[in-house]
Amino acid sequence: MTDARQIQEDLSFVRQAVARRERTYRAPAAISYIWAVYVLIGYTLLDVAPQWAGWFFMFGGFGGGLLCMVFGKRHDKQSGEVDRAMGRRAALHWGGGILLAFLATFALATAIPVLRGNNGAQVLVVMIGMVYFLAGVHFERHYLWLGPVLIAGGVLVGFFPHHGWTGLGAVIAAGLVIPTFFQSRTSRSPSSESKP
Amino acid sequence: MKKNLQEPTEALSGLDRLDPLLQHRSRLGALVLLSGADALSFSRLKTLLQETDGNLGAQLRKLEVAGYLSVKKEFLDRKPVSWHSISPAGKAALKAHLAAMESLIKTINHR
Repeated sequence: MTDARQIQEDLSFVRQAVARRERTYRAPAAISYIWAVYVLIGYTLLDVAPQWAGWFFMFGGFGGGLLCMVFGKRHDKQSGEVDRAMGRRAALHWGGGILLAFLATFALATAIPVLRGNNGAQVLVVMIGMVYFLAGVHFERHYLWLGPVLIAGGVLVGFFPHHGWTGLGAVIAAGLVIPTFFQSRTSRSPSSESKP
Repeated sequence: MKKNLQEPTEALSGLDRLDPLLQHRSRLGALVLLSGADALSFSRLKTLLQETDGNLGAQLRKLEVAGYLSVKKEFLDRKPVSWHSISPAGKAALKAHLAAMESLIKTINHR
């Protein structure tokens, strides 16, 4: 006969297992490195060769997205956890969020001429900062502070006529990479097993 | 007065609806974890549930025999990996079991 205490203990056991799963979930570090390189190169181009920056962001964004899919799948296999719903949610958040930010900026620039060129880039970066912040709410906690940093950087870069974008790119790249060093290295077991 | 008379019946009804297979915490835990992912490896389940190889293997086998989960085996870097996924029958059984537990807990809390 199942009694109340037994049910309570079983539920506590299950809750601990679920909490352990949530606590040990980590996005693959390789994905952070890809976007750190993307941001560093793209933002530097805004200073040194702005005519190429748009093309780089567009094609680099698609390439980075494809690489993320490849690394994400590999990470799932190695970590022993396949969660396609999480992958779809992340793709919708980042892909959809950044696409909407771009379209909104483009629409604003069409209606308000002063938002074309460098000013438009600043508006776009501020909007992407919001996407970063929401990633902190839904996925990885370090985006909670990286989002506001990007928003502040998007505003402040207007006060630095030389190498402002390069500096902001370096800060954001560091913000993407540094948290990966503090992720638990033993949080996920290898997928090899002694008994199937 | 009427409510008090109904409580033992409700509690019994909740007990009846508990799935005997899911009254083992490892099996319940495994099914709950599998319901939140497409597939988990044996190794990952072992880490999350903090069970031994032998015990977890036996419990998962019972769930597999009941049709609550499916197992796919593959080799990753030349090492065998068993991927476990919850089946539609497993999802339905888990849902019914959790509803029965909820009903029991509500009855207990009302007392």
